[in-house]
Amino acid sequence: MNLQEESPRLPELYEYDFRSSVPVIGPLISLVRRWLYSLTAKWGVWVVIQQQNRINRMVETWFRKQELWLHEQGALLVDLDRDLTLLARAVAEMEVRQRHLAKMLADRPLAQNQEENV
Amino acid sequence: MPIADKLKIAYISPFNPLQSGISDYSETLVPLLSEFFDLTLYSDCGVPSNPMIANRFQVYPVQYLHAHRSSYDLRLYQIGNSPHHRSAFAALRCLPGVVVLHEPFLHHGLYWSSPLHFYRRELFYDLGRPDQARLKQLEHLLLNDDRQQMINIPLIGRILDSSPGIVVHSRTARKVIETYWANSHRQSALPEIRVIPQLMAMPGPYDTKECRARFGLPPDAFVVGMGGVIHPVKEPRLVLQAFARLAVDLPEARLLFVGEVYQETGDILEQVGELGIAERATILGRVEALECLHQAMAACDMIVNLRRTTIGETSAVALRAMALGKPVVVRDIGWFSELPDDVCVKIGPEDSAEKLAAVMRALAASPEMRLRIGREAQRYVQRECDPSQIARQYAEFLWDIYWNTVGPELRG
Repeated sequence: MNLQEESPRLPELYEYDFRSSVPVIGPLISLVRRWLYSLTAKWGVWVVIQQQNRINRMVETWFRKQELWLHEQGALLVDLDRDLTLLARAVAEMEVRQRHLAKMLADRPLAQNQEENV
Repeated sequence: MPIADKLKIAYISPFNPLQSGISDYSETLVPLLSEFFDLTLYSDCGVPSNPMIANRFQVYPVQYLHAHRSSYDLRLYQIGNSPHHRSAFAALRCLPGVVVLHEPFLHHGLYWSSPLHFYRRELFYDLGRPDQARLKQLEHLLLNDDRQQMINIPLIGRILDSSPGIVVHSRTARKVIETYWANSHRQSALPEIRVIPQLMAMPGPYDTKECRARFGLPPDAFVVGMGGVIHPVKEPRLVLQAFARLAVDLPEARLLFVGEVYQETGDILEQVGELGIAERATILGRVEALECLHQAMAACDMIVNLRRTTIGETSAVALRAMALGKPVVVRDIGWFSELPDDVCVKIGPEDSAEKLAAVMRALAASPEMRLRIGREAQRYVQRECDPSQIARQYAEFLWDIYWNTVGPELRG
């Protein structure tokens, strides 16, 4: 089973893209915002984004390992269930023989049982 | 034989008031089987509604089997594809026994025995652990009732692994099991499988005119019947279309549907109206007593019992109609193919409403043919499905299983 195909990858974090919907001077406003952002926060935010991306990748890898482990455990449980079923059958057959043997012993004369015990 | 006593057998099955064909089956079988064995019954039916069962036998809830496990020489499970067997499915996991598989296909029974993990556990048991996409695909097939696609995974793996012996009612069912076995590469040996025909007590006799009067049917009309649950797999739409064609030539003809109409069938009255046969069709719905079902079927001149697909099941309704001496129209698939050609009328697996209408016309035109097929059908049921003979076959099989389990060294 390919677990990666089943669950999509986490998206990477990215910087906010400043825009403005104001007519005519909108591009100017977004340019000013971008300039202010690059002046005050860009490098700090970039470091935080890189850190968070690394954390996300670690968490993702950990979850995928857990998922794989759970899948393996699930398969193991199925195998154990099958083994238990075969064991249940063996126990049931043993119980039939045990009851049969008990009936045979009960049917024999007491003296014969005592003789054999001696 | 060193053990002269009767074997003590735990008999696990639904009984009425649980509404199941297996309840009726067991109520016929149990009194006859008790001539050979000391039977104790396990069922979640509460107090059996049949006094013959309630007064003669001890009946415990299925979960008591665990406490009584060492009290029996063998356990005999009657298992079918319905959620009535939920407790039996659970008991089978740790208390295996001889299993009578009324259908070798348990998807519906296990799926509707909520919770869902109950079904998935058995799915995983048979398939290993499928991926999510495969699991969703299987559940989709089940909800669309696509039996043809699912017959290769009949969900009987655990039963095959744990049971010392399996009883089925047809060679078709046996083949389904053997094919599944061959493809599943299991560790354990294939259990002994015995084909014991479905039992059917001879009902009646019934006076057709009296029965018709009871259901408000004209005494001289040609009456086509369809009995048992009305489910799309039994092709009620095709029967309506064929009857509509017949009604053009034979305006006096009548159609009688007797049995619970399943939701999946859609609005049957609307379909009847669309085809312009509303005046000629009677939809009775489920009739409570078996006697009432017999009377309704006895009121008919012929019974249609089709299957679009088969899961290896036998049809008690078809046998009931045959026991009543009615000609039955079936498709030539599964167990129906095993019926001799002279005891029923077979149409091909893909035949259309036109072909069915032609069969209806032929039967309507020839009372002699109806009588001849009906008589042969009755003889067949008497010969093959006699409950006393069936009980004897059960007894032989259970003793065989017992001695095989005990082994030659303890046989004495």
